[in-house]
Amino acid sequence: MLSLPSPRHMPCEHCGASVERGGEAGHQCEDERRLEYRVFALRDEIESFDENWTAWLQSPEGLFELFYAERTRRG
Amino acid sequence: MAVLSVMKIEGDPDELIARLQTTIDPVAARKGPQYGGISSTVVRLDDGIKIFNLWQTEEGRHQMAADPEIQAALRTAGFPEPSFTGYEVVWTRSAIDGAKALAHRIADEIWTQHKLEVIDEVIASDFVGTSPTDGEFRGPAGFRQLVERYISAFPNATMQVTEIVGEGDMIAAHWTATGTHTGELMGIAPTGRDVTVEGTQFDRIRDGKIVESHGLFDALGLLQQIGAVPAGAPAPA
Repeated sequence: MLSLPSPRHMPCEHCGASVERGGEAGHQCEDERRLEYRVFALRDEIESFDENWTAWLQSPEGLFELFYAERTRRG
Repeated sequence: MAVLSVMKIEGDPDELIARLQTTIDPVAARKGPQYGGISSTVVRLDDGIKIFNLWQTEEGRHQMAADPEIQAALRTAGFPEPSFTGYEVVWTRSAIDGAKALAHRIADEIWTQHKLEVIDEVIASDFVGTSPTDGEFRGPAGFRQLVERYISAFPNATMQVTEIVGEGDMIAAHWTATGTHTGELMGIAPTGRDVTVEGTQFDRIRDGKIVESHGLFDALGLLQQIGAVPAGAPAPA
């Protein structure tokens, strides 16, 4: 069965940095790069957060939570 | 320090050239590179020939002159005693050096610094290029479209020429490119992954510009690195 070759470099699955084949053991993710990579992967979710939040607040569940929060606040 | 030896041999030039070609030249062509010979040029004069030999070192030139096979070829040729002058070379420059500089400029200024205005300076109006991912592309506009496509997918793209050789009007280069996939590429959504890709390039140069370029690069590896194609298991050591 034909198998695809592996490229000489592959991105680290945790931080996305390009790591040369055979050098995986010596690779250490940089915190900043790992954070950037995670934020980039979640960019669609982050970009749509405000829109989704507003829509949820208009839903029956959101409206009830608003009512309940207000009642709790008044004691 | 390179040295240039200039040797004049007097006599009938046609006869001298014929003897040179059948006696010394075949041996010199084989032996010269072993002793650091860079180039050899023979010119015809009214009263003989002149031979200009460029050497990497003076020592290499002497070793060549003392080589037994060269000595035997000289005896066979039976040339009259040549007049000889040696010069220390200050510098040499050839058209191929300019062609190599052109390839470095494309990697440094266009692909790494993203100075797209340089394209019109280095790509000929009748340019034709081929690439495994883009097929054939023509002219500075076609080259620009290709560069823009990759730079929009990898805005921090860099390219480094790692090896380059040249002969005649052609250069061949090996390069390594890097970048972070933060823009759409061939319909593939950005992944945020860093990629490293290697390729080779054959370019033909005319009048200081590239007129033809045929590139091959690890397109499969690129697609594997951005997750569009599964990566195979590493080859056994």
